[in-house]
Amino acid sequence: MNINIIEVEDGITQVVLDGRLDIAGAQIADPHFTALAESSKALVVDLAQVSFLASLGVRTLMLSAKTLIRRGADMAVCGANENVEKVLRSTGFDEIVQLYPDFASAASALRGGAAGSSSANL
Amino acid sequence: MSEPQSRIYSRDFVGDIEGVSQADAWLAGQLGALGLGADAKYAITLCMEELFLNAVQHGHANRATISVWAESNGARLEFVDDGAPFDPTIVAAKRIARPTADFEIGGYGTGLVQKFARRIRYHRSDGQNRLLLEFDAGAPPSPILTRSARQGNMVDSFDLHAAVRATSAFRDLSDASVEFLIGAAELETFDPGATLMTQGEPGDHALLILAGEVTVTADSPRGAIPVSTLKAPSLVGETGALAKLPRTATARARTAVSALRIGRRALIEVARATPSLLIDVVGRMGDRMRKVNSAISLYTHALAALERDEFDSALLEELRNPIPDLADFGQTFGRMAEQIILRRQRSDEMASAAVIQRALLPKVGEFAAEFGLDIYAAMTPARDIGGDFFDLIELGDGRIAFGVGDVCGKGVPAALFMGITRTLIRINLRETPDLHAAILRTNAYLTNNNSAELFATLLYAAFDPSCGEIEYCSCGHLPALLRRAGGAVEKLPAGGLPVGMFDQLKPKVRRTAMGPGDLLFLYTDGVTEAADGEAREFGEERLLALLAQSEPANAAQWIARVDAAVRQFSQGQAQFDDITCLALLR
Repeated sequence: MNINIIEVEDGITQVVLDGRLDIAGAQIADPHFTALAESSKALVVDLAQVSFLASLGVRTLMLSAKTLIRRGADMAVCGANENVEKVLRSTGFDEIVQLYPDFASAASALRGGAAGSSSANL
Repeated sequence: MSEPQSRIYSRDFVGDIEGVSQADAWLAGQLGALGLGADAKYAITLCMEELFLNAVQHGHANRATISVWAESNGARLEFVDDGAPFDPTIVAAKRIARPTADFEIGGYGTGLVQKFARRIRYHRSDGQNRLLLEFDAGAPPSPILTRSARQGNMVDSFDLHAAVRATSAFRDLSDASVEFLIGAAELETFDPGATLMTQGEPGDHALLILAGEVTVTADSPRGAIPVSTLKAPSLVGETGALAKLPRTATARARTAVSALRIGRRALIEVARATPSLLIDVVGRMGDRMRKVNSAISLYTHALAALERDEFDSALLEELRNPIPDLADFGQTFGRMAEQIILRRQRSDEMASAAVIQRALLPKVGEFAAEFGLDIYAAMTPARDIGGDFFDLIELGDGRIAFGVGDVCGKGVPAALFMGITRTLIRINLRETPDLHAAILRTNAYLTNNNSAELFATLLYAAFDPSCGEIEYCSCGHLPALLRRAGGAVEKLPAGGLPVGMFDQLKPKVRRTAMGPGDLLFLYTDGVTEAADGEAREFGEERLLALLAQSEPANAAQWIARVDAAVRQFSQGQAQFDDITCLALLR
């Protein structure tokens, strides 16, 4: 599991995960997400390179979402492959964080403030 | 022969997070060898991880055993743990239902398992949770292979690399070894039905099946026994090639097959560089031996049960759904199970037929007492029940009628036909005390309502106790024997046609008279056709000689004598037909 954190303009932070978000992957990713959830203004988790995600990975994402929502910050997830998306939708994660096909669409949505974290709805 | 399609990969793991992590890595390797599609791999990995995590975090399991294997209609994952009882099939899937900040972080794993597995079965035994999950196989990554592989075309050889590595024996080979192997191998193609390897022939090469399916059979003097079906990619005949042994089975192409022929020298060379290849070969041989051993034990068990006619439901279940290890033997076991079911049905049928047969027989003792006659009859049913019967009827004109019959056929149909025949004659005789008319009417009814094409031979007689006159009628039955008081035995004229066969029956009623002390003896062919160990029949001569003896006896004693003689003659031999005797002593 490789993690690449990119500060995009407009206060958007792109986290690019690369590899399997299995136990080992989640263990690597967790501390990064804890830090990012506490600090970023708008977080886009790019899963385009993630070949595997199970409930542990969802847990990582949910913990971040919770913190971000509490802080009034935004979050979006993009690039999930079919199976990863199936996991996210099965757990209802897509109810709290919007899913986008790619980073560009996620970023533009967050910039527009249209649909990032659902904090607007709460 | 090796690498059956249903090869099972199984391993124990310690019940902690580290164990789950190890299981993740191990499973990734095994799934590669099973040739499953990406979706199947994903689903299996996800389910395994969720189940294991649950077992560790909530069930406090100390260990877990994970097994995966491929089947024709998908893949299976078996997960066994020793944690607290937990049935994930009855838990409602948890899901965040609407946008909220107040969502729960954990507890979604079970719902995911339900979503990703095609089917989940749970049971708990021996203090363990046992889960069997089924998955769709998905489209396996197809090895794109053409004849140009021989020329070392770059694209094709890249796919060849993947195909070689997809077999467990070659999984750990270095790039160089794979290269060497491909270089030394030759591509062969086989038409459907073609023989790849023949049992008993020297094994000097292994075949790596790249495309198509191969059936493996063990040839025995009693025919070919299916052992397994192999799907590409799999390796065949490497044990024989390495150990220079004759082929232990025959492999035939089920579909068109392309395969890499790998010579013994190349195999040994590669094994030298990668001992894990040998370990894999030995491991799979051990695996096969273990499977064969447990198959033999189950088979022996089933055979013994069949011999004893003991049809234990648990054994039947085990034969019909053998444990995954014995899946290769499924076909053979299935046949065994069929036999057991068949036997069970037959013995049930026989039992009910015997009940019918016995229930229909008249109570001879009561009848004799009522009419003050020395009359006796007995029937010994064969194990495979036949359709013998006897009957005693009061005619209402001072006479009594009696008779014996033998329905051609066995089992419930014969027993029912017997019951109908006997009842018809009884009803008709009660209506009109006339043997000829009763038999004609009975035959008419039977021929018009006989879809099973059964028929019966009959010998009925009417006896007038006041004067000793006998009226009798034979319908294709064995002759009645009349033993005069002095000991002389006469065969009464017989003949005629059985009832139930022809519309036009011309039964002949004959008359004779019995003097005091005369014995009339009616019997069925079960007496004369009883066989001894050398297939000799008891025969009419023996019966006549027996009746000719001078020792006085009553009707029951005469029958007991015949019975004893037949029994002694055919000692130890199975009784193939019902034995029925009826005797009247005036």
